[in-house]
Amino acid sequence: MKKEDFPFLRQLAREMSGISLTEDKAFLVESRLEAFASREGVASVDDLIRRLRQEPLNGLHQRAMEALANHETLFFRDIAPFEILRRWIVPEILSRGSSGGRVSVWSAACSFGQEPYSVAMLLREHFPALHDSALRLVASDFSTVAVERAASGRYSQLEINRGLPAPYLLKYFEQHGLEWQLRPEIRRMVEFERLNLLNTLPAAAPFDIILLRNMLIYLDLDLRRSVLGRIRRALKPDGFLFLGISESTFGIDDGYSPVAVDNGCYYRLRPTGGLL
Amino acid sequence: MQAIIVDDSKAMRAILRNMMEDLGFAVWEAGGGAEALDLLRHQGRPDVALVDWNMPGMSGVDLIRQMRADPLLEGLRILMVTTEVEAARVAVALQAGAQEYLMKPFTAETLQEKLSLLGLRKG
Ligand SMILES: C[S@@+](CC[C@H](N)C(=O)[O-])C[C@H]1O[C@@H](n2cnc3c(N)ncnc32)[C@H](O)[C@@H]1O
Repeated sequence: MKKEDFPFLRQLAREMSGISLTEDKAFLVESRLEAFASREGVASVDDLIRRLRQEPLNGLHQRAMEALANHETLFFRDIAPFEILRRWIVPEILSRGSSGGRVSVWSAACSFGQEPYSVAMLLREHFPALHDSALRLVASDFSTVAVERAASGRYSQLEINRGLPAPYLLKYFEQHGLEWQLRPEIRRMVEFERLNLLNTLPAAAPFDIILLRNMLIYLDLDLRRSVLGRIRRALKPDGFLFLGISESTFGIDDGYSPVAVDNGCYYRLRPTGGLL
Repeated sequence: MQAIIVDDSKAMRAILRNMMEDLGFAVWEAGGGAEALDLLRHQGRPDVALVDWNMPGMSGVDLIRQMRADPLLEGLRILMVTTEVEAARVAVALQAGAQEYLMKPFTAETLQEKLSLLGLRKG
């Protein structure tokens, strides 16, 4: 990769996913693009970049930028948010007369699906009445590959080793050789769509609960602000937002206020925040 | 926090010991079921037991059944760490009294994730 190509890639990533490519990631970027080029049958990273520069924006640009995303995830990641949902938030929403016994959840950067399926298993286990029309569980990601894999509900041994309680593995998965297939009763609970948080919200918005975890960390400050602003419009006025453990709205968007519970934290809209 | 590692492979015990010590556990080792029971009788109940399945003499599952039958070990968390990857095997281990199940191969990170499922966090 030529030195002058990096600023071009950085700008492309900023526009297409928001992912911030800093100079210290040059090596990582190059190795991911190398793997991508060979998957696409393009001879070299230089050839790939030449095409990206010359061609008008198309699927190749989208796929190349997807290849730069980090999809690291696991079932019940950090545990605390899931405990808080079970102990406090879902019961609170259900107890509100206005909810009509319905709950809506959006996993906004769902990667390979472990996050929304963890919510689905948790709800099935502890709130069995929440299904069909009582539940709207939407999951999205900007990466087509990630969304397709997520929707398939198929996981490797390595993936089911990570964070998934063993009793859930037995109850909700079927083994196919070395892979594990999530049972249809859980898969059916989640609606997947491809969606870019830089410019779109799901049609099903607003939601009671939004999980936007471990996505903002990859963005520059101004794009974090713009995503958090958009998310505000997707959250019901009395809704709940979860961010990743190393993320916060502090100093970025003061429309949210943090609430610390048990070992975790969530955000609520300040009373005037969502309306302005 | 204290952990007992039961595995007939010395190399595996060393790997697990390193990982557990990095997570702040004091570690005891046993090369088999009988040795483990003996150690537990003298040392008392640790916070967690990491138990291999296939060992000469007493199997890991038999060891778990015995530990579960011992009132002095009540509250012990048990993690099965094994190359057995069949769903039916997982079911047997849980029935015997293991609470969690980690399939080999694994990393320090997956081990830590399993421990936090058991309510054991780093620190
Ligand atoms: C590290 S994963 C987080 C997965 C999960 N939320 C978790 O916490 O485990 C980050 C995900 O954000 C997605 N992503 C990156 N930029 C995005 C954008 N502009 N819109 C939607 N998703 C995006 C990536 O494709 C990736 O799957």
